[in-house]
Amino acid sequence: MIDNAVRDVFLEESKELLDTLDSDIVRLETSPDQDVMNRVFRSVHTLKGGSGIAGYDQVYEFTHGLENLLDLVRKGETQINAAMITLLLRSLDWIRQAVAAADGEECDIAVKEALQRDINACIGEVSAVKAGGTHDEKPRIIVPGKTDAHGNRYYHIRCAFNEDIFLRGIDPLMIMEDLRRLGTFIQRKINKKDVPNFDSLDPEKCYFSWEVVLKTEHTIEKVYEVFLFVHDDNDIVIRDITENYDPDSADARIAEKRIGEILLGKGVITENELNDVLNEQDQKNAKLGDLVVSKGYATEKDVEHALVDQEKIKKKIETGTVRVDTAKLDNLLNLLGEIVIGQSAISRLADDMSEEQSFMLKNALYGMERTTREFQEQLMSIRMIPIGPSFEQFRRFVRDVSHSLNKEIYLEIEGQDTELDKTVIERISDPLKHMIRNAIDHGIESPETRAGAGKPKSGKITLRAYHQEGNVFIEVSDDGGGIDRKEVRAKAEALGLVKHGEEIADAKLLQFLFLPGFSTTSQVGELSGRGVGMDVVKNNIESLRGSVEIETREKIGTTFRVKLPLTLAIIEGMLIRVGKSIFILPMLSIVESIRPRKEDVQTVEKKGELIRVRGEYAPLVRLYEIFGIESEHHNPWESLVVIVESAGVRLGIMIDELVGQQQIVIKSLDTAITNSRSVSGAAILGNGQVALILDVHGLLSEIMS
Amino acid sequence: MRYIAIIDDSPTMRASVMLTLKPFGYNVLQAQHGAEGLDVIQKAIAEGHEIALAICDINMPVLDGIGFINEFRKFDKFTPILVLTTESEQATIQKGKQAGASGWLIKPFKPDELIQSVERLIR
Ligand SMILES: [Mg+2]
Repeated sequence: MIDNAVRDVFLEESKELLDTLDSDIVRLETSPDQDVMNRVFRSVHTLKGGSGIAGYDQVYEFTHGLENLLDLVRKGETQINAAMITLLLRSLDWIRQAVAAADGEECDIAVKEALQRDINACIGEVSAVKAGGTHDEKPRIIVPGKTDAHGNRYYHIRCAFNEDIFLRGIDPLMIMEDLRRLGTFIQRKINKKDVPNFDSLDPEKCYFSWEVVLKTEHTIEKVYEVFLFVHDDNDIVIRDITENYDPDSADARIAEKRIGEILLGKGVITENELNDVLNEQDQKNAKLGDLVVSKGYATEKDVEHALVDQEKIKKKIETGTVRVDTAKLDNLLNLLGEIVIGQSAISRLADDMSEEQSFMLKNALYGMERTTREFQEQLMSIRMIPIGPSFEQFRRFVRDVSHSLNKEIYLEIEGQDTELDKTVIERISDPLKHMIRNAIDHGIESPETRAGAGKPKSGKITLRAYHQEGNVFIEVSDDGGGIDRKEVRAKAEALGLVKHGEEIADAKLLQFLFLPGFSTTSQVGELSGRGVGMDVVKNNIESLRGSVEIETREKIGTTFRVKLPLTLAIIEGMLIRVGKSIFILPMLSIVESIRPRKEDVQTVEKKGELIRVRGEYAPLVRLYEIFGIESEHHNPWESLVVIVESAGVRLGIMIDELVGQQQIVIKSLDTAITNSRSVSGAAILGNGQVALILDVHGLLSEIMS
Repeated sequence: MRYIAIIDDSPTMRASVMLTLKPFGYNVLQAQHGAEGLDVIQKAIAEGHEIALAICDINMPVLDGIGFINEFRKFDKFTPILVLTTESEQATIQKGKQAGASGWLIKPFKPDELIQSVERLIR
């Protein structure tokens, strides 16, 4: 009985392993990759172990030899070649048959032995070579044709089809279409000169011939494959012209222009200088970079840097190949969310089964969950795009705004390769613009002030993006005079936000700048004005489940640091229980969970309940009061308290139980259902129960007010 | 409750270990690689359970057997670890021993071989 159960598991597992092996081995043929190679080895190794345990002795013995061969390949002692790939694939076929063969049924021993002979021969060959003996039959190593720097190959293809091609059921357009799918036609010519006059035209004959230049990453074999059925009796000529192919001159012209723009954007050359060089270039047909240097507008190093930047931008632009409506991606993600929910429902059902059944079911679910997770990662990666292009668009903006204010400012960009969710990028653009405008307007001093302070006349704004602990950080830094804390404090006191002489943390003081109507400069800038937009900026960022903080140093500058989630669709959440209700706290905002002592809880007038954690007091909230639900405990020292944090401020939340950590697919809530700021969305749990996702930031601002 | 943990990337192996040990009254926890093994074990301990023995494979994705043993030994010096290995991995037995494994069993094994090894280590 045990044997049968193990066999069933092995049948499933081997099927999965063999499928992975199939595709991995095929991949090895075109691109030898050590990671793939290691995976192949591990799969065969696992297959061996499993077949041994499940009693497939023939398979066990066979995979043993296979493993030995792969071990040699893995260690680089022999190179994989076409013959070996074929041998491996045929071996997989045999294993598949042997596993599928019903009990007692003999698997094909003759085939197995022939394969084993070949495998042993391969192993023997390597050993012989290793022993220093020379071998006549060198393994054939596939050398695909050269590519350009981007992995592209260029083929000139002339197709003069036989007049009677239609009679063989072949449409030349279909072939051209197949060809186009391999890449892009960067040149295309249709030869129509053989088309007769209308009266002598035979509609069943083909009169056209084509001439194209195909840009593709595929090898020439792949191109030949397209013509497999027509190659013999049609006039098809394919030439690899990768080496002498000169990229389209228009492309080059655009690239040249971009270098000029990069130099301009970096403030290396002026607009007049650029125009001057562009004019000259039209006449002389020289490289823009050379002209700029020869005219003394820039150094060779500047041009070199610009070239590097350009390569980066180009890479980013070229990465996208398929345009997909993001709504479709969102849909897929939602559907996947349903699958995840279904899986956890099954997993919960498994908990109620007998231990043995539960074990087997969970075993089966593992494989499924792995696939789902991979699916989710792939899907998410489609949504992720580098922030570079979005940053680049601000170059022009900085230039225009600073000129209008008679300031000299150049924009530096760092971390343009940082990837984040497309939606986040789109929605962060406006707040960023506001912060940049603010930095130009109020952050950076006038050239005269700067000169007086011994700073370079032109100011610098840095846009920086980076990943840290599952978040994306975007910073807008200026090297201006910094924010005057005394001024902020005076304003805050005038508005009654803080009492005279009252101690206030620096971070908290600076957060006042995000309040509506709070402005530190007496003359509000014409363009924006600090205070006019900063509350909007903050709200926008918070609606992205992000936060913003300010770091400022007198005379040195100010940094606005925005913290954002990588994606808006999924969060890593902690399920918490209060009475019968389940809530979700984003993992990122959880600091710790504690069991407080009675003396750690205090009630302070006007501040409500406070809890002492590591020497500091944090407000304490009772979820059952906020949401009007039941709770098992009503004394904090009898229940569990989760400490959460948002923008440097901590908060204790009273709960009955920590249920567990889980990936949560967020369903946005209709504002009609709740317009509470304490809730950012909802999720459906495995058992169908709806759980509200708590917004720590919202909770904090709700209890503060 | 006392548990035996089986950490192996092969579902066949996990099922076989579980189904072999079950009739002898052992409760089994499973994980498919070293990192998950650490996770599952630490969770079980946090919930007040006890780990009597960890059985682990060598060749696994994410965190392999040697890595698992190293990490496990950082917080538990005494619980025995039984390494599942194959005759082609002789060298790893030595590495496993150095990392703190308590014994090994060569795959494929017969049910009574497993029971014997387990009982030898748990006693
Ligand atoms: Mg393994």
